[in-house]
Amino acid sequence: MSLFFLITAAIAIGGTLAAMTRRNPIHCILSLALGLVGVAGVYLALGAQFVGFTQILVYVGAVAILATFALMMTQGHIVSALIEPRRAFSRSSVSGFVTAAGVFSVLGWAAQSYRPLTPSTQQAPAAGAKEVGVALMHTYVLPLEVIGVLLTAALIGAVVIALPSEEERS
Amino acid sequence: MTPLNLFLLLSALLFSIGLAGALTRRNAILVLIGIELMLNAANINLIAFWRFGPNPEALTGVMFAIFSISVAAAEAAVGLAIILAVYRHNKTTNLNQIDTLKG
Amino acid sequence: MSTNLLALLPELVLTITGVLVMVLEPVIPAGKSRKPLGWLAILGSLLSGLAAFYQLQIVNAQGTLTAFYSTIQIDPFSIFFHLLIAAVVLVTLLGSLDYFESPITHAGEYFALVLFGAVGMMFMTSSVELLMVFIGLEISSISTYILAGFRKGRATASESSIKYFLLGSFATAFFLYGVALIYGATGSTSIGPIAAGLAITRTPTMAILAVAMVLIGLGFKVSAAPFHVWTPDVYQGAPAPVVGLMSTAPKAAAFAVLLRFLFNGTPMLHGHWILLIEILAVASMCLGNLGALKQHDVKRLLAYSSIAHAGYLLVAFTGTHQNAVAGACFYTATYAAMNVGAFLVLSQLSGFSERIRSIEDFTGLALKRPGMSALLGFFLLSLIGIPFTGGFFGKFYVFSGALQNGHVWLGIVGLANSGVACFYYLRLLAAIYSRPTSDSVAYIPVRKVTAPAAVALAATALATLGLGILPNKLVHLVERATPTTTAAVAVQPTQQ
Repeated sequence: MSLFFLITAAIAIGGTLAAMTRRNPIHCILSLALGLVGVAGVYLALGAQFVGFTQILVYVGAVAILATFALMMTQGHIVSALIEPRRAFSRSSVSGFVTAAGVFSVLGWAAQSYRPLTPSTQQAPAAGAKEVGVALMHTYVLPLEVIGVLLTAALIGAVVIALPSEEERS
Repeated sequence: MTPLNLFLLLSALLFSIGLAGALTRRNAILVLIGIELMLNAANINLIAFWRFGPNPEALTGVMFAIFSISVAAAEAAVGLAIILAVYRHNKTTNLNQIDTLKG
Repeated sequence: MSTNLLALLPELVLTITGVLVMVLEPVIPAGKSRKPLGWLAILGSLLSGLAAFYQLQIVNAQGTLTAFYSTIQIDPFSIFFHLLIAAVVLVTLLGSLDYFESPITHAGEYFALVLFGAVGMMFMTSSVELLMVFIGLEISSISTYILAGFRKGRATASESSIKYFLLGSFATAFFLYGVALIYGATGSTSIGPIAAGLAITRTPTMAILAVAMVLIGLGFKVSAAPFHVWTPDVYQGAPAPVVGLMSTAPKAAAFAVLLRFLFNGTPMLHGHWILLIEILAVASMCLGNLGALKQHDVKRLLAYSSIAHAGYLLVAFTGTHQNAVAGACFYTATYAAMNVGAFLVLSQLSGFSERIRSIEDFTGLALKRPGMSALLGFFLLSLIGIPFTGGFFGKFYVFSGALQNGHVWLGIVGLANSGVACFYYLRLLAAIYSRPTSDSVAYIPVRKVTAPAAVALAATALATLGLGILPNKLVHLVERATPTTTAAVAVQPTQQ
């Protein structure tokens, strides 16, 4: 498990780092897909199979592809224009990095000093499709139903906002 | 350092990478990707706490992560639709060039 | 009726109405007015308000209701916010019935999204499980991201939408991370067990960090400084009736979540989060009021004013538990009445084109539109906090609560800020009542105020006035609203 975790964690960190630093947005999205596969591997290493596969289906299968489509529909015809110019560090990007480093030092310090409430269980508890399904139909039935409202609103909203208005069409 | 602390450190690192990207990138799509990474980092935390925390049979962390994945997907869909609308008007997704609103 | 159904009644009514609106939308032929759908939505929000009232009767008789494995808790606190949200939605719908009429093709979707957003806000206020709070927060956020961009065909609309979306999702990420940390520190994501888990946690620092991150996330949503940068741009580009809605109802819901989370979930960390609240409150009041001083666009001015009002509301949190809840609830109600009213006047004056924007455009308005000017003037006076308006008692309760609990300097900062705020409100008021200049309102066609909008305006004005003259009615309701941690404590057999 330990080796598996180290490999997946390395993929996750490498992929996300590349996704945030490459200058060509297409490379960014492809590295993002790789990084998210790494995160799914981390879930598997933790014993949450269902979440791991959901992660691959939803993030790698849908979100990364959607981002690629959005990129192609916005500036895909001029690939050269996509690549951000190499530029000197601006003030805003320096302050962004400083903020992120500060947040990391605080979160990382809290992470390494964390002590669990109870001594950790050696056996990974099961969280497969069966257990998740039972929980969805039992304790979590209300969130399951309300997420339907969320998806309806998001679907309607996405269509409304992406459609060109009458004036633009003519 | 226990395995749990390693998972939490990984999560903190991913959150900060996403944060740095969201704050420094100028392409709206990449900013959105940075935010998605921050949400992913939170999910790693939820699942790590579920695995090593008390009362794992309740599946609290796992269920929270599943719902947050579906919420994040809906949010990404809406966000990319908004980015398409922005592009139609401004012919760019560079946030520095989208600045007609000011006092 | 089963407890589960009863506990969800207002949300169910709104959801069903929203779905009905979307189902009936294609039945109406293209090019025809979508007004019937608007009336259906108005009926739905009215019914959901009545449903909340019905819940209040049940709760008065039987005590607090809990449903769905203690996910939902219906007590006077959540019912108060249900009523407030239903009222804001009702007034907004009445006011925007004619706003979108001619140039827009998506009026049906507009009504449905307002209703769905309200469902999310209501869930935020009645949930004691952070998972449901998170989902409710996202429903309300996603709806408002879209609504902000509804002046389609204008570049400012999509710009407003993207800024709101990016910063809103950013805030969501902080909120979710904070929830994950509190789950780690206490082993639960429900308000009651979080409070219990804090007593036995071995890493209180992580819990403090979690509370700070939740505060950052919700601070963005209520536009408290220093997380306010999106507010002026978004309010400037969004349609005026939508700004009236999103500057009040989602903020009220987020404040409700904060009240429950801080006072019921993490009372043990009071000493830590009170400091953060004080910083946020002072920053919001000062940055909001100082920022408003140099604005020319009226919507931007009111955006900075709403940042300042978020600061006043946060001052309420420094009181004792009872005072804080009562003060914050009262202030939310008065702020909702006067702010929705002010944006309704703006939307009625300039319509969809929003050609009347800057303070210069408002010069001499009183000559041309005496009624509307008087109404806007009244709402501005209430926003200042002049006696006999709701704003006065709102500020009075908030500051007296803080003073009683020993936060004297916070009260002084708040009062000084109220003084600064007079300048910019009075600058707008003076412009309205001064002699028109050549390029001001004289050339802008008068929009007729339709009957539904007149009803909406009258309702907000009466609410603002009523809260200023007879605040006792609401005070009694909000003083009962102090939420309790568990259902067992909440049942009060002595009442009735």
